[in-house]
Amino acid sequence: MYKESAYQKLTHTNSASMEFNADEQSIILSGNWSWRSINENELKLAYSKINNKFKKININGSKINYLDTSGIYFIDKIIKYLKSKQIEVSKLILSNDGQKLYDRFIDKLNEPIKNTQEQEQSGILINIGHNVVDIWKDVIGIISFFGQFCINCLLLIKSPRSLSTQEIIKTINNAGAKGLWIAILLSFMLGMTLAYEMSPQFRSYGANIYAVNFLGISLLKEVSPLMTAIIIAGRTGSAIAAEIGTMKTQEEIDAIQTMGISPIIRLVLPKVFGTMIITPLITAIADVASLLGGAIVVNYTLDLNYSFFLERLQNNVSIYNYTDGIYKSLAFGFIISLIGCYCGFNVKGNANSIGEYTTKSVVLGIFSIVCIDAIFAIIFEILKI
Amino acid sequence: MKVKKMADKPIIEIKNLGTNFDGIWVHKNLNLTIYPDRIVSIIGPSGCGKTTLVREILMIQPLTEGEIILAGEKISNYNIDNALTKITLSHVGMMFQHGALFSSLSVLENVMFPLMEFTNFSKNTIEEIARLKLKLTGLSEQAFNLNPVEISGGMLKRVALARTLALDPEVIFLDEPTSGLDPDSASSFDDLISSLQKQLNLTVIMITHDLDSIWSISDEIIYLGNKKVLFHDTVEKAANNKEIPELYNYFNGPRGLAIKKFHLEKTTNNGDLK
Repeated sequence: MYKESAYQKLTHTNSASMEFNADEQSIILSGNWSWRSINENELKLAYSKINNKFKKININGSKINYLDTSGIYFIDKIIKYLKSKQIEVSKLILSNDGQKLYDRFIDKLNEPIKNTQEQEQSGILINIGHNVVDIWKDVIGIISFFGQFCINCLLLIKSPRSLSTQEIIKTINNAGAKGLWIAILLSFMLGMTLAYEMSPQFRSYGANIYAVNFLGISLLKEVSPLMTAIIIAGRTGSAIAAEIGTMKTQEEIDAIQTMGISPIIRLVLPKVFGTMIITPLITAIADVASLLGGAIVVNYTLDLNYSFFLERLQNNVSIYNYTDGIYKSLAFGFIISLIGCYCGFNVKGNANSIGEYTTKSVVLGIFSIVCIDAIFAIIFEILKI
Repeated sequence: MKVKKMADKPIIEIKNLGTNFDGIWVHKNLNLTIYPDRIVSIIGPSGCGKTTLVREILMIQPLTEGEIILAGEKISNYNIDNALTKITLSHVGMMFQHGALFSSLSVLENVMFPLMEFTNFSKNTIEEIARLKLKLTGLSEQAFNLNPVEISGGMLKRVALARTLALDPEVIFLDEPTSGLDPDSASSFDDLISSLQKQLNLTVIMITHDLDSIWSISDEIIYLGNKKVLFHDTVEKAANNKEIPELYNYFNGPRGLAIKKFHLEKTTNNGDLK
């Protein structure tokens, strides 16, 4: 490596080149032998032209005006190529600095490459198998995490003061106050869309007034709780996973543990309780927004005015539709935050892992919301409410 | 005593540098000239702006006033999107205090990363060059495919050094290279830096608090204090300088004195052997 290079901008105009001089039986190297100016393919082409007519060849590198590690590597590659063709390199001439650099690398260049990486088997069936095992591990993991959660809840009864109310309020603020508007907007639009799309059906049967029943039941029982839960899974669940995951990588969770404080009581319980408080509240507000959206649309499409809509809603749509939705949202809030925390605690110590588990928290969260929704449907059917 | 003859062209020139953080001057009228082919240690009390200075040279931190000339290029007006900046930056390497290795890549991929970005070589070639660099820093091959979280602190420093050397820079900046290492690893890391400096003709600029590294491998000392360079000369002169009380205390305090004695005895013993 020669010092002048720092001042000369190395460009491809002075690129590494090799010439074979058949009379002198020598290879003459010149130019800048640096990663900046070596063209790998040109070089390969040049040295593969040397035939094994000759038994001995000199390599003269004294015309090289810049040499770095990549240059050394390619000079070595030429020597190895010649050896493979049974051509002996009788002499390698380099300048002083170049020789010093080459000596530093010579033993390292000749070490055989040990492949320490185990080859992983791949194939469709193997991949499916791996995925099934991963899903099973997650299921077991979430169940055992739920177990830990329950144990810590019992411990909390002994010392209720260790629960941080400030953390609960923070969670409520982040999940609720900041996520409320998007929940309202989405529910309102969804209410409008549903009403708009179903209106022709009701009109064609002359069953205009039943639109209120349809909207009341579908929005209160299914659409609003589900939409709210999905928004919360996307906003809060992922935020919880990322927050706890970052704490895990920074060894903050280890610090909490070494202070003799349970990380579950300190971190998980406030988040779960906070989310469980806020989800039904947002759902209740989203219910109103979605019904309002529906009422505005049916007012125009089916000529049902607002007072009629409200009256029919009160008389014909059971209050249980509303309470079912609220109960469900309580369970949704619980599972979203629990999965968020579970994913956060499983983050490994690298940057990729946080992203991976944040995504996982949303996917698993939405998946379990749908599963719990189905379970609730069966329970309500059995209980006839 | 290792005093190198002045090369004709400085590699780094800093003129009237000023840095202002929210109304507080970290540097003011700072002038500094560093010549190539030597190990320069930047020392000074915590918070005197050592890391800030290096970050400014590397264009991570904008300057408030003054100018920096790196390898003949005025860099103070550069922005990071400039093509020329990219070329200039490929001539320097920086090893961060905690390695700053990419945690999502393996050790080998970390070293391959800059080569992939800058060179047109095939992936195989890049991998083999990266292996060479890692071997150069003395890392064992078992660690090549591990992730940075799975290796020890000493190995981490070696990987970070290998990545710093990936593009064969002329100047390397080391931010506390021996911090967090046990004394034995620290001194072997010092030896590594010193031998690499000689063999690769590097200019090494290191920020350090390790008096052993300062004594054993530094050719020059730059003492930052009072917002400027207070002292710039050899270690021996720095240790015996009584004009700057802070600097005198630095080398002759309770910790410094023992190390000073040890190294002075070592050099006189070496003299006797000759």
